[in-house]
Amino acid sequence: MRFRPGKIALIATVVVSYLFLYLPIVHIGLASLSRNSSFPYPPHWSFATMSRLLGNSLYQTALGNSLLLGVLVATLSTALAGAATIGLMRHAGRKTTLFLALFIAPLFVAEVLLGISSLIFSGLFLGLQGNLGSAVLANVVHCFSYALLIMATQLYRYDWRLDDAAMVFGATPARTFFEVTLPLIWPGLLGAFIVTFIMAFNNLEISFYLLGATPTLPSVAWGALRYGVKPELYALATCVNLVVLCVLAVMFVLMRTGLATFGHRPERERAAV
Amino acid sequence: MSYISLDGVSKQYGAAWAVDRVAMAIEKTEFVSLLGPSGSGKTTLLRIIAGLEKPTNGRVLIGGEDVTDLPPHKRGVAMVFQEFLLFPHRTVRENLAFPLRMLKLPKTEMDERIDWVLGILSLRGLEGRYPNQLSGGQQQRVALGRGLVGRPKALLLDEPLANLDRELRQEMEVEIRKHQTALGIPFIYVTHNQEEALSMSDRIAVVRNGRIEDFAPRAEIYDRPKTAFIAQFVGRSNRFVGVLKREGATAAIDAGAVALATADRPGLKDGAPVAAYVKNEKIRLRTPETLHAVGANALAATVKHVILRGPYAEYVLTWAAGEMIASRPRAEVEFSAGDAVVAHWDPADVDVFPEKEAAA
Amino acid sequence: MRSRLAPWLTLGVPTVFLIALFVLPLLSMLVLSVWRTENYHIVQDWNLRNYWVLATDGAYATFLLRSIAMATAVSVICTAIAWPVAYGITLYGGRYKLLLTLGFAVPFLTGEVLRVIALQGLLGPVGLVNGVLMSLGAAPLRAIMYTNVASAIGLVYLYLPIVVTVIYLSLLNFDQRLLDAAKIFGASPARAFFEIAWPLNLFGTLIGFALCFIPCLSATLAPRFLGGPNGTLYGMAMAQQFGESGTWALGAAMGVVLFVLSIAAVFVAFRTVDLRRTGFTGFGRS
Repeated sequence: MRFRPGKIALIATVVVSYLFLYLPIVHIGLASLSRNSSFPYPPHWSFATMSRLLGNSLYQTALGNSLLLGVLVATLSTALAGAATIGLMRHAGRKTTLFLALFIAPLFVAEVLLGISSLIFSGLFLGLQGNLGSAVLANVVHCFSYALLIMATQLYRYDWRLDDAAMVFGATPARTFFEVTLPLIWPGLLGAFIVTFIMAFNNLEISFYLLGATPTLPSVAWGALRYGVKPELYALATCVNLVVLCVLAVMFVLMRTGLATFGHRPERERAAV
Repeated sequence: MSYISLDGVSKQYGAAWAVDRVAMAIEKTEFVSLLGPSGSGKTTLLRIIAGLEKPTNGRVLIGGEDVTDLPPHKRGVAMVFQEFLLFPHRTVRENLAFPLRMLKLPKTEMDERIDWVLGILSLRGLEGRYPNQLSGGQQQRVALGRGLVGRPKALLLDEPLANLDRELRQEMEVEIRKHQTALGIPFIYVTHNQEEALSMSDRIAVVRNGRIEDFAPRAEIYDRPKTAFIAQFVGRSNRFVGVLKREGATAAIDAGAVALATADRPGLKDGAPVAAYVKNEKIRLRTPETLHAVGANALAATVKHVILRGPYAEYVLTWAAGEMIASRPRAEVEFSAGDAVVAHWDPADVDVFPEKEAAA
Repeated sequence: MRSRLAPWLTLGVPTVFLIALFVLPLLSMLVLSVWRTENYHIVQDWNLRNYWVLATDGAYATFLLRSIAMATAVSVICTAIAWPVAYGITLYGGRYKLLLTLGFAVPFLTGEVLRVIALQGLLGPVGLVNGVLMSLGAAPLRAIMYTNVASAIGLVYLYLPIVVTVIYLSLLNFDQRLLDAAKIFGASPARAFFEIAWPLNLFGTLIGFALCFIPCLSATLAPRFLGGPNGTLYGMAMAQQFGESGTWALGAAMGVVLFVLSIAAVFVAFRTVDLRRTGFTGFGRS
C-alpha cells in the first residue's frame, strides 16, 4: 500500500472538525447530568439539574409554544415549498431562474434582518401586536427557502415523464399526484418538514422581534443567558440536542430505506471514485 | 519484447476476483479488443492498464518499463471514456489543450497539435463551444481528439461508441481504425459488442469472469472458437447437446432427433457428453424435393417465420426437437412461412465442446 | 390538457406570500430608515439624518469595519475547513457518507441560542478549555474569554456546518470520474484538483461562502455573549436600537446598510465568476 499523505490529512481534518463541533455538546451534556457542573471530570452523576428544569413551569409553557410554532411553520413552509418546487420544475418555463431567485432570496438575508423588517412592517406600519401568529408567518419566509432547497434536490431526481405516463393511461391530474407523484416524493416532503420544524422550534433571531409577550424556549433561554450561564441552560441545550439527534437518526434510517424503496433515480448512479 | 505486457495481473474486490491472473502481450502497432459481457472484468483490466486501479497481484509493463506502481498521470497513456467525460467548464479547444498543457509543450507546438486534431476529426469551427453545446457524435470526436492529441504511448478506449446510434457507430469504427493505423500506437478497445470488436481489431481477447478465454486474431476467434463460451458469445449459433461417438477418423454426435458428423476431436472420449454449435449462416436450406433429410447434418424443418435483415434473411425453423435459426443471403432461393425445408451443414462447421451439464 | 390553475397555485401563491411577508417588510424598513421615530410612533419627515449619524459617528464606523473584517475572516476560515472536510467525506466516506453529513446537521439544527450556551461551556471563564488548563495548573487562556477571538471561534462553530453541507452537496453532483480523466491526461492529483474539482465546484463554494458571510455580517448573539467590551458588532448594535434604546429608525437604517452590504458582496462574488467556467448549465431542466 502506498503512503498517502493527502488522504491522511483529509481524514484528519474531518475528525478534528467533528471533535470541534461535538466537544462542547458532550461537555455540557456531562455538565447537566452531574453535581460538579462547571468541570464534570470525572462526573458525579445527578439528575438534580434536569428535574429542576423539567419542573419549571415557565419552561413548560415555553416548550408548548415552541412546539406549536414549529408544527405550524413546518406545515406551512413544506406545503408552500412543495407547491413552489413543482411549479418551478413543471410550469415556470423560461422564467425558472427568476422565480428561483425570488424563492431563495430569503436565504441571502440575515435572520435578524428578516426579524426587524417584519417587526417594522407589522408593528409600525400595520400597528399589529406581536403574537405567535406573526412569529409563525415571519419564520415561514425563512424556512420556506430551506424547504425548497431540500425538496428541489430530491425532486431533481424525479422523472416527470412518469406523470405523463400516468396521464396517458387515463389518470386525472389529481389522481396522478396522489398515486404517482406523492409516493415518489414523500421522503423530500418529510425531510423538509422535519428540518423546518427543528429550525422554527429553535429560532430566536426572527421570532424574538415578533413574539410579543409569548415565551418560547429560545427566548426564555436568551432571557436567562443574559444573567449568566446556569446549569439549567446546559440541561435545556442537552435535552434539545438529544431530541435533534434522535430525529436525525430516525431520518437517517428512513433515508436509507426510503431511498432504496421510494427514491426514484432515473439517471445511472454516478460512480463515486 | 512486446510493447505492452500484463504479467499475471489480478484484482480482488472483497472476496471476488474481478480480474484473475491475466497475461497478455500486445505489439506496438496492434489494435486489440477486450470483448466480454458486462461484469466480466474487461473495464477493470483497462483501468489497471491506465493506472486508475492498482492490481492486487501482477505487473504491468508499457514500452518495456514496469509501470505497476506508477500513478496514471505518469504513464503517458490516454483514454477515451464511455460517457466521454469532457471537462464541462472548458471549451473544445481547451479540452484538447489539456493533455498538452500537462506535457508543458511550447505554445506553437500546442497550436500545431490542436490544429492537426481539429483537422483529422473534422472539428474545425467548434473550437469555442462548450461540451454541452455539442451533439453526441461531436462530443465523441472531441473525446477521441483529446486522446490522440498528446501522442500517447497507447490509447485505451472504454466502450466509446456505446452511447452512439448505429449509423454513427459504424462511421466511427472506420475512423478509429484509420487513426490507429496512421499513428502506429496500440489501441486497446473494451466492448461488449462483437460487431465493433470484429470490425476493428487485429486481435480479440475474449474476457469472461475476469479471465482471458482466448486471445487470438479476430478470424480465428470467429471461425474456430476455442471454448464453448466463445462459440456462444461470438456470432450467432444453434446449439445441439448430445453424446460423442468416435468412428475412426471422424466423430459423430448423437443428439437425439438428429445425428451430427464432425471432424475428429482427439481430446474427447467416446461417450462423452458434448455441446455442438453451428453458426446461423452455416446452415443451408433446400427444398425436400432436392434433398431428403436422412443421415448426419441434415434435418427436416418448417419455416415458422422470416425476419428480413436487408441483405440477408433469418429463417426461424421448427423441427422435431425444437427451434433453430438459419440466416441466408437473399440472393439465394427465398422461403416463406409454412414452407417445408431441409436444413443441412458441413461437418467442418460443427464446433464441439465438452458439456458438463449435458451428462444427465 | 394542462389547466391554468396549476401554474397559479404552484408559482403564484408562493410569490404573493413572499411579496407580502418578505419584500414589503424590507421596503418598510427602507422607508422607516428615512423617517424618524418618537416614543415608538412614526414621524414622517423625510430626511437622511439616520444615515448621517451612521456615517459620522466614529463608533458605528468602527462596528461596521469590525463586522466586515469578522465576517470575511470567519467565512474564509469556514470555507478553508469545510472544503477538506467535504472532500474527505466524498472521497473516503464510503457507505457512511450520509451519516457523516447528517452528523454535521445536528449542531446546525440545534439553534443559535443553545449553541451559544454550548460555546460558553467551551470557552467561558469556567468552561472546558480553561477548566482543563487550570486543572493542569496552567493559567487560564485570556484570549478566548470575552474577546473578538472568542466571537470568531463562536461564529466558525455556528456556521461551519452549513458551509460543509453546501460544499458537500456541490461535490455530490460533481462527477468524480472527471478527475480520473484529468489524471489519465497527465495531471497530478493536486493539479487535477485545481484544474477540475475546484472550478467545477466554485459555484457551490460561493453559495456556501455567502451563506456564512451574510449571517456573520449581521451577527447579534455570538458577539453579545462571547465577545467582550471591544467586541460590539454592527448587527448587535442594530439589535440594541430595537431593544433598550428604542431608536427604531436608526436601527432600520443600520438594517438597510447591512442588507445593501450583503447583497453587494453576493453580487460582486457572482459577477467575478463566469458561470460557464463553473460548468453551470442553468437551473432545473425543462
